[in-house]
Amino acid sequence: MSNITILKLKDDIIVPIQAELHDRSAQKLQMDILQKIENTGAKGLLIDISGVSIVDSFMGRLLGETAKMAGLLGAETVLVGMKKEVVITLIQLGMPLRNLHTALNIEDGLERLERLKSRRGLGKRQVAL
Amino acid sequence: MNERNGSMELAGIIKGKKEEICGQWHKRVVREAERLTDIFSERELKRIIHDFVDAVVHVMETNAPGKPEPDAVIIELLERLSKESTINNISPTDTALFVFSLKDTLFDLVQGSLSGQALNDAILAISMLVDKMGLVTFETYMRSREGVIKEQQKALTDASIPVVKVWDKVLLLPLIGMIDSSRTQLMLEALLTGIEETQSKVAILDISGIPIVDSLVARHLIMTVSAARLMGAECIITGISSRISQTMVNLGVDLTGIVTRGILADGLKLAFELSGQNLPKEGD
Repeated sequence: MSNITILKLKDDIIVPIQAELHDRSAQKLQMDILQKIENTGAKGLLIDISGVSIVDSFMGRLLGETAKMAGLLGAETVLVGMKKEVVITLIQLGMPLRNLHTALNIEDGLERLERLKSRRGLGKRQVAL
Repeated sequence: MNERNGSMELAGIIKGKKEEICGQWHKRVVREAERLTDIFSERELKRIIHDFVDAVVHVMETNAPGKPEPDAVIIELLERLSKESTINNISPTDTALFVFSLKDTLFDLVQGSLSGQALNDAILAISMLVDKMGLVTFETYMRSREGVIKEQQKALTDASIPVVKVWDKVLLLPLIGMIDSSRTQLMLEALLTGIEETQSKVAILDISGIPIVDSLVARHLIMTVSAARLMGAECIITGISSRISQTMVNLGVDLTGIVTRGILADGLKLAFELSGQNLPKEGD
């Protein structure tokens, strides 16, 4: 089972998923992410799924739940780099993931994360766009 | 055995009087299906008639007694004729009249040369064959019409969803015509591909070209907006006319959570803001 790197950048956590996830490894990843947030006290979580081209309803739900859990731990979540095949699948599955913040790429995602954190009154205040 | 002889005999009669039949038939065609004479010259028409008579003789000679079926040669001749007529906007009635006038011509002929049971059998055989030929012309007509419709449909869908990059990180989709499920699928793919390629942050869906917005269309729009959002781009819907806003509210279409603007210009302004770009000032 491949391990997925979880990076820490200042007070954000970045998870670049560059391989297809199976149900088991996805659950393990969720656990790892949440532990990392707990251990580091990170205020932002950025998940990059640009390497994932197969997402089913389980993965969709897992992503939504991970964001909620991270929220409980006090971290904002942004999902970036979703492929268009994945988007179409999720839409057809009826999972628009409304409560999840998204961005086009890591760069935009980090920007978005900063905005979300400043809205929450955390981290450096940024000029709102 | 008797019947077999009958149809052979009929074939013999037709063969023997081929020139007469061709002449008679041609006269009838000119009289009854005159529109055909507009697209075929006299020589062409005579050649077609010749080919048909030859083919009919062949069928009468070879087919099972009493059950003449149009063979491949006749079907090909008929198809060519119907296609030519369809292309030239000749109604299928004229083509059918052409075929059916063969029946009368042959009837005249056999009435003069046969009698009793043989006449009966001959008339029956001729009727059957010509009726079936008539059906083939109609079928071919329908098929070529269907082909035309399909081609037009394809042309319509192909040309229907332009994705325009109007500014850095701003895409515009002018939607025109009815938005059904298959077109939504196309629109979705075009939009997502556009976002992926240009890394645009904002997409504007301009619906001023959509005549009717009912709950189904609204659902398709909402679906598109959700998809773009999943990818990380915001969507703005513009071009909602006063009448459409009324129908939407009356129908109970729920667009909460979706950014809308009345006119495209306002949508563009908002798009610049959302994508973090300064508005180009006047005079720039």
